[in-house]
Amino acid sequence: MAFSAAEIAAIRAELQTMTVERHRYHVYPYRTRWFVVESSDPKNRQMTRTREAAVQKARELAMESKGEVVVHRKGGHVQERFSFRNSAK
Amino acid sequence: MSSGADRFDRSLFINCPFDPEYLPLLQSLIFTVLECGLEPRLALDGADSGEARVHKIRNLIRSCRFSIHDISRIEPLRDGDLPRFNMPFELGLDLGCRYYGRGRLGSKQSLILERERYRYQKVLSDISGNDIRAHGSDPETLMIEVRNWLKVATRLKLPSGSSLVERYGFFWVELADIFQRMRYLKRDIESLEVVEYIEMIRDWQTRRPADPVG
Repeated sequence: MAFSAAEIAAIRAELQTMTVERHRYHVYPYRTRWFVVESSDPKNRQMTRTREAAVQKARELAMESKGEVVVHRKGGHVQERFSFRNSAK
Repeated sequence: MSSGADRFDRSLFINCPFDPEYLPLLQSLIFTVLECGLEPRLALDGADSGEARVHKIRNLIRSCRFSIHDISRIEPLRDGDLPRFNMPFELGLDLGCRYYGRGRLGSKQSLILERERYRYQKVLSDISGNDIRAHGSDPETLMIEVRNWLKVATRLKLPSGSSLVERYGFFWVELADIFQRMRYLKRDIESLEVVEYIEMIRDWQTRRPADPVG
């Protein structure tokens, strides 16, 4: 599909104004390591040796804060995401 | 408003394929250039379709201090097709501009990207001696190689490689959120025009500016 000028303008307006989701934990590979970082606090990142350890860490943090986990594949795009936002603590 | 000289020093010409298979690499390349504070310029981004393509390329090359040429996909796309000569041709124009051009054109700097190290020696050995790096068709490797080259070429403070990769992930997730809220399909993102994609990254950066570290 091709977007109309109005659709593009609406997407761009959202990009400029949307608020950063809190308690969203990104898991991503970089070189030979895996990292866990929260969207609104990118300076506070944790490093692990494996994907499994990183996902587990992110899962614990997201469960604790009723947040969300986004696992990226190499190259940035999303591989999987799961949410604890509606779960009982 | 920036002066002509300032814009020249901030502009980077991208010479690459525009086929769908290359799109993930092109997206990561554009994101990296913008995150490093430069303006990506592509042959696609002019509005005047009546302008002869070679004139458009010539003007782009002349107006950009930096350029990146990806010659990793010059093979025919399908059996029976011919090799794609546009990328090597535009690389030659750019190098010629640097060698024969006057004044500021002598300060132009180019990076040549390949799929594998030393493959160019089999197809375009005359370019030996230039900055040539391999990305292995991997977006992350491409981002790091381009960032590291720009660090030396521009001498600017740039985001670290890990921050670049991390922010690229943030951008895609937040763009996907918007698409979902607006009830577009995930694959609709791929139909964004390059110009639209550039504008969207800029919009996103105004809200989430990069943090240059060194």
